[in-house]
Amino acid sequence: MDDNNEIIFQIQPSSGVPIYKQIVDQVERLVASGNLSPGDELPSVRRVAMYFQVNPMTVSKAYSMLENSNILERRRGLGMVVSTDIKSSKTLKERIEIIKPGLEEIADQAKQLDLSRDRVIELLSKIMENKDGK
Amino acid sequence: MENNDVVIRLDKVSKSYRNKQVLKDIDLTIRKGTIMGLIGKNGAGKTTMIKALLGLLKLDSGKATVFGEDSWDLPGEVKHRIGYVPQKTDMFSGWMRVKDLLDYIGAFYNIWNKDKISKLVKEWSIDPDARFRDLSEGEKQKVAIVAAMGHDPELYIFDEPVASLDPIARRTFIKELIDLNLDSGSTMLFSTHITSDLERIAADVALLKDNEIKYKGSLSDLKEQYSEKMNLEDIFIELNK
Repeated sequence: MDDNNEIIFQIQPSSGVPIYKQIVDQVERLVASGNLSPGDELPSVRRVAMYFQVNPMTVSKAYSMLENSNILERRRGLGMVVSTDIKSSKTLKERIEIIKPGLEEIADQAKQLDLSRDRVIELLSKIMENKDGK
Repeated sequence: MENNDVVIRLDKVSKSYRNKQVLKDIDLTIRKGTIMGLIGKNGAGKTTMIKALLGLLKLDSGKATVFGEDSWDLPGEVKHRIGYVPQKTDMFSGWMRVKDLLDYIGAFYNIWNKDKISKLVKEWSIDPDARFRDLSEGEKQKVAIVAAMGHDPELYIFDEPVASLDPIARRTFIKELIDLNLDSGSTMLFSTHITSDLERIAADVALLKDNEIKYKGSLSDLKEQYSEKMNLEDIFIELNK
């Protein structure tokens, strides 16, 4: 089964975070933000495994976990899609809670590197600008 | 009763060379479709374990089975379901040309997938007319890998298959393994020191230390036992302290 669904997440095999968890976290975030909407198809296990050259079982483990937590559902002939009974997007407060740990990590690093608050904020807005521009 | 999807089973396998114990009470089960990486320091017993399960050496005690058959007495039919790439490639006749060598090996099997062989030889830019002995260590390793794939085995056993391969060839190798695993549900066991390859392709890992298996199981579970900042290489060093 071939598909052309866009691969919307990243995988870093040599990270200390297990691959399945990298996928789960990113899909959760994409659904929370509304970047993935109910009914959207995900790329097949085969496509993800070949694209990133990672073990297929690891990818299907991630999909199964997302299925168990009702974020994804299996559709005959389509593979995995974002659950239709999921609340379309999380509240602002919920989304902030999701991004907070990452920002705290950045804050720690900035302190260690002796970078001022203004510099980091400036850099972050530039990075976000660039991403929006794409 | 033996579970049908068990491909490899080691049961209290022990082996010594002279007075030196190399494997002590090794228990390991590998099920169909598993891709397992085998890691351990030099001399940890990886090659001995692989040879033990292939029946290439006699155990002191314990039992090794492959597809339910005793490793020491593997029937030909079972051997044909295994593709094995040894650490050393010197068992091939050096004077033969690559294409003749591959044909010669193919003649031992009932099934020989010539298309797959030609595809791999091409993908890896191996010169089919070169004599085997004139190839570099990495090229020899490529030929050995290709030679182990021609009979469409269900179980692949690689002993440090990529030690001499460049990063591009290693990626081609990994891609081929994922392809095989997806298409045929092939089972794979490979030893390696290149933990970044293992992190890609293996869902399971076994770590040998001091003649014993110090960890066996899911790579994700292993990583979750440590800080998110530690990759497999860091964990490997930590576990060997």
